[in-house]
Amino acid sequence: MRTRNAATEVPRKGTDKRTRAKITTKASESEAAELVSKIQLGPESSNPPLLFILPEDASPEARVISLENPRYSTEDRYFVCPDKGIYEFTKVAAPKTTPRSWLLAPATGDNLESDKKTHNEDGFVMRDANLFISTPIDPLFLLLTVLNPLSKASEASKKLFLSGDDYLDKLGEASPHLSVMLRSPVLRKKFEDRMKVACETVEAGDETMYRWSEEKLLQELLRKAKKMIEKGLPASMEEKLIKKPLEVPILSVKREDSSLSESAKDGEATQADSIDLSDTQSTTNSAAESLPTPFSETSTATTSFSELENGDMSTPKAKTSAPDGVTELLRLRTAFLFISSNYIPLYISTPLKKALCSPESPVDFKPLDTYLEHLAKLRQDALALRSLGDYSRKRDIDDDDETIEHRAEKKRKREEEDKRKKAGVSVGLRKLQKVNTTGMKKMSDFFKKK
Amino acid sequence: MLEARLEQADLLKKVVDAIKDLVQDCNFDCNDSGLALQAMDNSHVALVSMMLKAESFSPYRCDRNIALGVNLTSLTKVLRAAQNEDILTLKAEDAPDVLNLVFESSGNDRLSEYDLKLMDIDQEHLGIPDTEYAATISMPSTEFRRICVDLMALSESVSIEASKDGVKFSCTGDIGNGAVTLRSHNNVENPELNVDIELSEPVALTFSLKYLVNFCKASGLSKSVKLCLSNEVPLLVEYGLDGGSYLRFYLAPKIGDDE
Repeated sequence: MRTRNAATEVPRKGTDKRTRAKITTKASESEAAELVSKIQLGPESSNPPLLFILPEDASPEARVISLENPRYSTEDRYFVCPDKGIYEFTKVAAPKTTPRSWLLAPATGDNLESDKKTHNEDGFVMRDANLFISTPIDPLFLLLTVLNPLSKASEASKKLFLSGDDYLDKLGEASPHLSVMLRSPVLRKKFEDRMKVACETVEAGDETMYRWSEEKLLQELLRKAKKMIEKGLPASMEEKLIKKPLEVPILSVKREDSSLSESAKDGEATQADSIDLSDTQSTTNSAAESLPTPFSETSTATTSFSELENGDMSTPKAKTSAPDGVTELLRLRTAFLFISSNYIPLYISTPLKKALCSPESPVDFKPLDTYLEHLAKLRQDALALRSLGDYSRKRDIDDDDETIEHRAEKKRKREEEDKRKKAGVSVGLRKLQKVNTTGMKKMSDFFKKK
Repeated sequence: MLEARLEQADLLKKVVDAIKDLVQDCNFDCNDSGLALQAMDNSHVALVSMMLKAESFSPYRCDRNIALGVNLTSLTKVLRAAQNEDILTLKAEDAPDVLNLVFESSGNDRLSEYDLKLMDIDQEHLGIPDTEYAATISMPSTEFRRICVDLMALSESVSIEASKDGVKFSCTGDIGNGAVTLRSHNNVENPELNVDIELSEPVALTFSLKYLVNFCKASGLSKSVKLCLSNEVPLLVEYGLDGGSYLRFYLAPKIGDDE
């Protein structure tokens, strides 16, 4: 997902990057040429090319540099353009189960002819079909650790107003590469602009001073989350994190369903009032903590995989009859959690989540919580009912056994009765029944009924 | 209600014994003239008709027609408890659930009493017309039984031919054939051994020996038996009892596939 696996070599040719968002090989050409010039397969390249999709019209000064990952505080690769800002890399890889490779062939189109000179003409086969897509990342995330350093996070009162330069200097200390890039006034301005949204500001002379504000950050994150859901969540996320949790459990017996949900609603209504707030917080928190895992998985998922999921999605699995707004709320929260679990240090995101769930939160998630609780109850009931159903199914089998037994009993009784009847039949009578009576007319043929 | 007293339990025992191998369940129809029974075997090729006239009992009282549905095997079981010489009294209500049987031993003052559960039997009654038979043969019941038993060793069916020469019982079986011919015989000393053949026209009919042997179980009831034959009608085997009572068996002749 991040650029940990990305190229260690910074592309030197700015021209390469500037040609549209296009695939760029950055293997040393001579090496590649050497590889292909031999007909048989040569030794594996120690520095194989990597495929990037880089932003269009990036400045020649743009570089791939190492920055501190805001979430994991590790050194990761970012594409930093002094004009356009910072881009993170997302690795798109084929799943290990279906290995794929890239064949990098020389471009044959007329319009690409100029590129030919700079590219390896013979092409190259890449061992891993990995693609690194650069997408813009808000500098705000990079700033978080300096705005609210871990050492001072707990002591809110001691936070001081500092100038933007001070913060950026600190940032430069953490990521030396960036300090070079930050010489660009455009980029500096970008950073300072973003600083404002998460900080209280004070004008001190002609300088603006900034101080970390959790409330402002929360607002900004919610704005981001809203923007994220505006165009809809990715399909896999929508399916896994929105549709699934809101699925109303299907109960085998419809009648019971309605009565059950009604009773559940009744119970839930009264229960919701008496819910301990800390309880809901802890549950949502734990849910939030468990959320990141699917994200990291989905983000490494390949297109084919997500396509598969899309296909799955087209078949409705269960009805989602969530009340109005609840789905939106869940989307919002999911988006928020996604952002905070990917870009915000844990020590900052945890209080943010708490704040989001608190009654003072700018968005009221209560309907969602109550509905989810109601669903959980329904699910529990459904489970209970299903186990009951299982039991009854078992009982059915038992019943079948019983009926079989019953039938056997009946049969035995009948046989017994027959036996008794046979006992009522004398031996002579039974012998007589075996007598061949062919050719003998019935008595009623001779004697008429009275 | 019914109350019928038989001087000798023997009679009913033998009658029931003779019928029980032919019929499973049957109604004893009681009316003021006596106790009647008509039933067919399961195959409906044989019919038994019994009449125990009121005169056979002393006393006999039956206010209303009562049908006593009886399983003959069960009745046999109860009757086994009676000695042949016991005085037997049958008692039943007008709409009875049970038939009450009382056995009185004349020798000692033993009195045994049994209630036999009755059942509802839906039975059709056939009207049996008085028939002029072409041949009527009277013979000792033991003789008839002996012929039937002997011939059954050879075959399943017997051909009875009545002519002016006598009556010939013949059969053909896998191991051979056999025939017994009886001529009219008059024994002055012992009239029970008489063989009397009344013939208006010669008759030859084939019957199932098994059924005849079955009928012969009534041999103990009467010293003599009367066989009445006519073409195209069932054979009548009649055991006459005292007081005009009788036990009659009818058997459909075998037509066609003579072996």
